[in-house]
Amino acid sequence: MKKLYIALLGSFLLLLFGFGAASLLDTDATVSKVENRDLAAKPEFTVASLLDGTYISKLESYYTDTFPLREQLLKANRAMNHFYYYAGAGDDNLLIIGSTSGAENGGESLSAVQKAAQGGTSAASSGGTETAPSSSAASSSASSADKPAASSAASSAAASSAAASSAASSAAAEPTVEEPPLDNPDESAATQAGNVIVVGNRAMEIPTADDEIIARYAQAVNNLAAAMGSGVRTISLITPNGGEFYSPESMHTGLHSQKDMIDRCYADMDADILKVDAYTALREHVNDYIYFRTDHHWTALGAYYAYTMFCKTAGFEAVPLEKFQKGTYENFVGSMYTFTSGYPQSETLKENPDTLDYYLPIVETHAKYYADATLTNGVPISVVYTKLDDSVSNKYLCFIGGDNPVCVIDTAADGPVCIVLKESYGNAFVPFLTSHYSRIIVIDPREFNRDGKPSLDLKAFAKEQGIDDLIVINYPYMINSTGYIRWLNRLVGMDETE
Amino acid sequence: MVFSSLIFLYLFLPACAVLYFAVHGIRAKNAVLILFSLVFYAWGEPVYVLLLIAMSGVNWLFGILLGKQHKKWLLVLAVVLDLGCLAVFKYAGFLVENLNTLGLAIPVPKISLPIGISFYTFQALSYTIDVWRGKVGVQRSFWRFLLYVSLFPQLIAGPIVRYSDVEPQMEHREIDLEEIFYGATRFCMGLAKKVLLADYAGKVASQILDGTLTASATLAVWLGVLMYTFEIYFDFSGYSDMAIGLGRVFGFRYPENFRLPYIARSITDFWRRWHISLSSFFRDYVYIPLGGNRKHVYLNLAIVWTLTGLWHGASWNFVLWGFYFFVILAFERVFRKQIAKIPRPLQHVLTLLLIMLGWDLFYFTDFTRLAESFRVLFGAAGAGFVNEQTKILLVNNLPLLLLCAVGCTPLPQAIGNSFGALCADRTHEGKKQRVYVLVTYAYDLLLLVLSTIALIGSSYNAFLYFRF
Repeated sequence: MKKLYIALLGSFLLLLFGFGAASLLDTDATVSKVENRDLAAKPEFTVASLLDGTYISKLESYYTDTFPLREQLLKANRAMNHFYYYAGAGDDNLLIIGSTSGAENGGESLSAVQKAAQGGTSAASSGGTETAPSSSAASSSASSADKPAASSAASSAAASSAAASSAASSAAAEPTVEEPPLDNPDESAATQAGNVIVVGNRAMEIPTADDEIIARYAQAVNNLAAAMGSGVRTISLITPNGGEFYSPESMHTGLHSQKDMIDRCYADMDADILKVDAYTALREHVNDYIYFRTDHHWTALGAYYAYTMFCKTAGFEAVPLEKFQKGTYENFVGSMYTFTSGYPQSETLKENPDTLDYYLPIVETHAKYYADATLTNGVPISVVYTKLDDSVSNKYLCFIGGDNPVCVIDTAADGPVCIVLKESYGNAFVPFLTSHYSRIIVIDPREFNRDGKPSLDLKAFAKEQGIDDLIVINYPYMINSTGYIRWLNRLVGMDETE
Repeated sequence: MVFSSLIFLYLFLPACAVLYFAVHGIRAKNAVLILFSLVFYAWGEPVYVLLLIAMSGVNWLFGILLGKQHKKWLLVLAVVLDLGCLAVFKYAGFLVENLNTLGLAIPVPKISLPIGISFYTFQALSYTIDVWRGKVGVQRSFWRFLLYVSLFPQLIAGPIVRYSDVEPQMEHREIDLEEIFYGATRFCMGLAKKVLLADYAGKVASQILDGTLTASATLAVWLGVLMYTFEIYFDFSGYSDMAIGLGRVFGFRYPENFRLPYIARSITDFWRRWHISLSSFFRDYVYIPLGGNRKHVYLNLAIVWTLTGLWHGASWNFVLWGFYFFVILAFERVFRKQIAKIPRPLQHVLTLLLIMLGWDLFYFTDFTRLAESFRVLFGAAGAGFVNEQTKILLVNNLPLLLLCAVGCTPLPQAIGNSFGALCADRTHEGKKQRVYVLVTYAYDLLLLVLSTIALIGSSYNAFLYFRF
């Protein structure tokens, strides 16, 4: 017996010790492919960080992130989650998780993925007209790390589009499009986000109303309108997300009714603000493909129906859908898949990818993106990218290249000038505006007046640009987000938290 | 440091064990344990480790003084120092906040709570009082006394080990392979309880209870409270199992801290099974000195349970939680005969319900949310009795729910015991016993591997292009 005990206990200790030694000796990965993120780096030792505890906690996350066989163990964990997140019998494939866990799941670890998302993006038809996407737009695959190459390609594109503004023109590498970082953790915590559910092959976000925050959003739009003054129309468009139409009943009624949230929010806005009833248009087309199943956005078709209501409210004549030239990306697996990828229910999403259709502007456009509101050093981009290659998994980035701080679209249309304040829901919407505005300035409020971000005084900027309309477009998570409201307010110096 | 971390499991523990068994003699072994214990504590509290050492020094000194001079004022001074230290580090902020609500304007001190202070203060206190009472001998060696207070298996989450439990083991410990094997098994089981049950149950509990309660269905909030009920038991008892197991590995025998509390038939019974080292501490050092059952018993109970509540945290909801149990315990005392007539199954169900409501009080430090949770629990608010969200929650968590429920019953222990009894046969050169040991070993390994997978899984951090 004694020998047996010694053998067993000895081998047990050896196992622990062996893994421990391996964890110290192995070379550490820096990027996790399974999770699409940078792994924690070895913290730098300082006495101060040791004493305040941050050194040790960083060391722990570094150790866990670089544990031997981590990726294999993560796969095993996903298998184990079949037990912990039982999907139900048969084809149910049910999942409900808190989306506040989204914030804790990674608000801070983005950059590598973003780079990966742009890596090897291909040419796009800048200055697209009614003609088909150019065949001359060879699919150059500039690596994102390869910044000089990308920007030189971009500047050549700029040159060529300036020279020849005729038909489909230049091959350009997509500029380095940075998606914005997520909310700061404290701000996410302040937001009662709601739930993410998977039912069958569709994943949806289910927002929960917080009347107090919704009223603050309405007030923020009032503040914006007041700052713009009487010469500028302020147009608010709040769109429901797919959860409003495709979730089980109890998830879009009561405190989860997005229609109620939108109605209450509009009711709190000043009378002279134009309010777009996107809800009704989307409701009418609920049987069409207006929302993705694997991504939290609407499709371009969904955005189009909201656009028709926008035109009605703002006094434009909407361009009929048939007039647009349509293109398609197959096999789009979006954000909701990524968010649920630790759970077995995500497999169904992956097996049933979305199709992303886009509609090309019918007028000639020239678009540039800028890092800040000084509008210097612009990099040409496309209003709609038609040649994203397979390495870009997030196909929704084809709309104005994703979220940029500022993007200015000059069009051949004879019309007024507008500023669009938006998060990514606005991206699929903006291309439709090209038929009506001569200049569209798209601004992402999250990219300004925060730590390490440029500042922007929207009132002065709008005056300088001589705008006619201010369009504020958001979906329900934003009107329930204290963080987003803060950034809207800061644009006009109205941050109540300071 | 915590036991359920990869650094503890794969670096700290093997390093400590290898060194411990490599050195010879009790002094060297004690030195290894002290060193590792201080590192263990300093890992989470690089500054407060000095407080731990100072507290040990003070009580060690008072032990010696009390051994020389049996003066009551010495004991009172020691108790005041110990409790004063606890008061400053744990309750100062709470006290000042409450004084300020009475109209004062004292700046609220920002003192972070040193990990485990409630546990090691009580350990040190019990020693000093026991020296006064003549129940234990005076420990003359500071190092041995420091070892008693700081020993890492029980340092930060109990059990509250009395000096009398381990007095002989400070100077003499056998290396017994069977004990070590038992200790390792006990540790793995505790680890699994914490990582494979408590942590997952906790995720569900906070998913429900931290959300917008008024948007939740009644059944969902009950599920949340039930999951929290599971979490707190598997977390705490798992930690005690790990402590007891590690103690055995290094030759210490700690008292049991939990005895299947959720099969209790009454709240009185529950408190004999839940965190036993704490309730017996309050019994021996507060309740009985106050007069126990002999005089003003209800006042004594009220004092003990208010203190028990406050011990769990510096917030009024813990006081309320303690008082809640005082009321129930007093009620059970008064109506003992009537309660005995209730059918037994109903006694179990009622007890469990009272325990769950107790954990609801324990969960919410914010009284507005606490009241909201009660309204939803009893159908006065919220999104009806059950909705789609609740159904999906129930489906998702069905396997975990069943496993936790079974884990609270005597069944796992009974299976282990009867398997052990089958193998206890020592004929044929102990062949059956070997089977028992080998099967147990395989079980331990399985739990360790699964726990490691879960620990890695908890670091899973999928990138989100999500919120916006």
